[in-house]
Amino acid sequence: MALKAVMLTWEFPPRIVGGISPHVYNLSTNLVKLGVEVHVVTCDFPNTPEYEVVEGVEVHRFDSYNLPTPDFAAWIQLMNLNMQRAAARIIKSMKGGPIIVHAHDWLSAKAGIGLKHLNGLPLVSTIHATEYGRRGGIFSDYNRMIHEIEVWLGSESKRVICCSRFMAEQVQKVLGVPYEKIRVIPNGIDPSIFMNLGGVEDVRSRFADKNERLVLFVGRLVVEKGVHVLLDAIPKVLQKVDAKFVIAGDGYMKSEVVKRVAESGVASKVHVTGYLDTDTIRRLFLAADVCVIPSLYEPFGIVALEAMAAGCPVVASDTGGLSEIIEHEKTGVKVYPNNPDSLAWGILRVLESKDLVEYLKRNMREKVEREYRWDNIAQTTKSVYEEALN
Amino acid sequence: MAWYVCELARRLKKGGVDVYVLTYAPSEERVDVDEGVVVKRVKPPVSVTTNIVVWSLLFTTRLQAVAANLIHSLGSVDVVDAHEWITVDAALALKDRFEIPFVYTIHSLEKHRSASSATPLNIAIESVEGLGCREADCIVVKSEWMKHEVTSKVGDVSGKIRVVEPYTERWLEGVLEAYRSVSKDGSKSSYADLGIPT
Repeated sequence: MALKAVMLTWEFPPRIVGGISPHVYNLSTNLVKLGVEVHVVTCDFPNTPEYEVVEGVEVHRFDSYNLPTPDFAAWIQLMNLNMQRAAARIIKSMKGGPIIVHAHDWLSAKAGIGLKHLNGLPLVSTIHATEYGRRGGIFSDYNRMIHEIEVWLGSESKRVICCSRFMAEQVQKVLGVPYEKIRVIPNGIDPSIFMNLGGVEDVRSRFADKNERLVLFVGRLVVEKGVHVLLDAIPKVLQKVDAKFVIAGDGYMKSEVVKRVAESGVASKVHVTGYLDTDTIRRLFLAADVCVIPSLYEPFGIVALEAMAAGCPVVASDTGGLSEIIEHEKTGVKVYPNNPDSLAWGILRVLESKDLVEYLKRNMREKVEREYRWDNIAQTTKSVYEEALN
Repeated sequence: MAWYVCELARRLKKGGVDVYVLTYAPSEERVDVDEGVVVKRVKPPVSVTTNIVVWSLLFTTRLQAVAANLIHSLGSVDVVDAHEWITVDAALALKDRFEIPFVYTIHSLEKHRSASSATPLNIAIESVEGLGCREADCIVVKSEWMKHEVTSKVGDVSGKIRVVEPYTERWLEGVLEAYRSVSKDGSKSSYADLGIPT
């Protein structure tokens, strides 16, 4: 009998809040190719059906706002109440096992743990990031509440999947999850999404003149992504190379970033674009001379993988999951975190060395193909399900 | 509510009903037996929350787990009596999973406790009260006035409301009638229907 997985996630395309949505989409569609019957239980979204089959994945959307409250923490738990009810109906309709409940992050912990106990099913969780890591510590009751939910999810899970060795260590040390329960499975990328994309020159010319190099930052504008470090590095780069900097993304720091750029004296060299659609971002990866990832905290670093798959050299902080993806001067350039001088050095290292760029491009494409294919990731995940069932 | 449930449970036990009370444990989890009533004290899974709604919804997940174990060990349970909005989530989950009828005993409503207040938490609690009223098989209130208040707040659920005045000679019989009105021959309480070995 086919292995069945009930995947709990608060976001699934077209609802995209962060990285969990594309992760679950790619993982679930590739698990189906391996013969796993996958049911994704997720929040509703305007103009999307309550039930649909997406590349073999059965997607069940529930009404996530029928218990309204403007309080986010309360809404999350009320959303989980609805998620658990929707998933319970699906499990009840399944004739026979084996069945795995797979919860993504603390956002679906309550539903996952409830289903585990009520149905006697093994629970697997993926902890994409920790509150401790996102905040750099636990400083408030709000942080502690989320942290304790993560601890609870870790302790209730038969297996905990983390996207990097860095995250695995953090989950062990900060959440107290025994190492034997943790499995490291990286995020993946499908390089074909960058094939046959037209309009790359058009996108490039929107942001940079022909004689200018194009430096790209893609990410949420929040402290942990280190955009402020990039702002400090920009004048240092411009002293030596003529370039345009594109800062793509949104976040609570956006107005501060815009203000700092306006006051920096290099405003004509920096585009703060805000949110850009996926196609434009992909064309930017293809058009850019270098992609900069100055993160202070990065559980994995999916942007690095996207850039590498597009053939765009990466300059990244030597931190978290980025440290594992990037091999210095082999598949990218590593710089010291939170250090504008080091970041400027890294950007110039790429912009000023054609030989290095060619060498990096060869290696990073090979690495992406070897280590980050979704079919391999799905296969490893299926093995973790089988472990949890045994 | 504590004394109400304590007294009701004792009277039910004396009346021949096996009663298991699942309630909050301020420190460690433990099981007490009080005049024949088994009291399982359950610890919330987290020590800190930012508000009572989050606290209750995390606590009820733990309640669900303890209740599920109890149901499996007993074989079947005839009725779940959920007291107040705080326990609605657990009762609903047990009803969904085991098809155990769910009686919702309303002691008061948020609109009375927090009159003319409409904070995000008041809104959330009222939405859970509404859910409980819609999904319960039977609602027990203590007065005709409260019956009117419930129907005026959540719509016409008067057909499943029973008014049972507490601490009277009719109290026990009134509650038992409410239970009997919804109970079936036993619940589906085995993992076997999912093909899972117990």
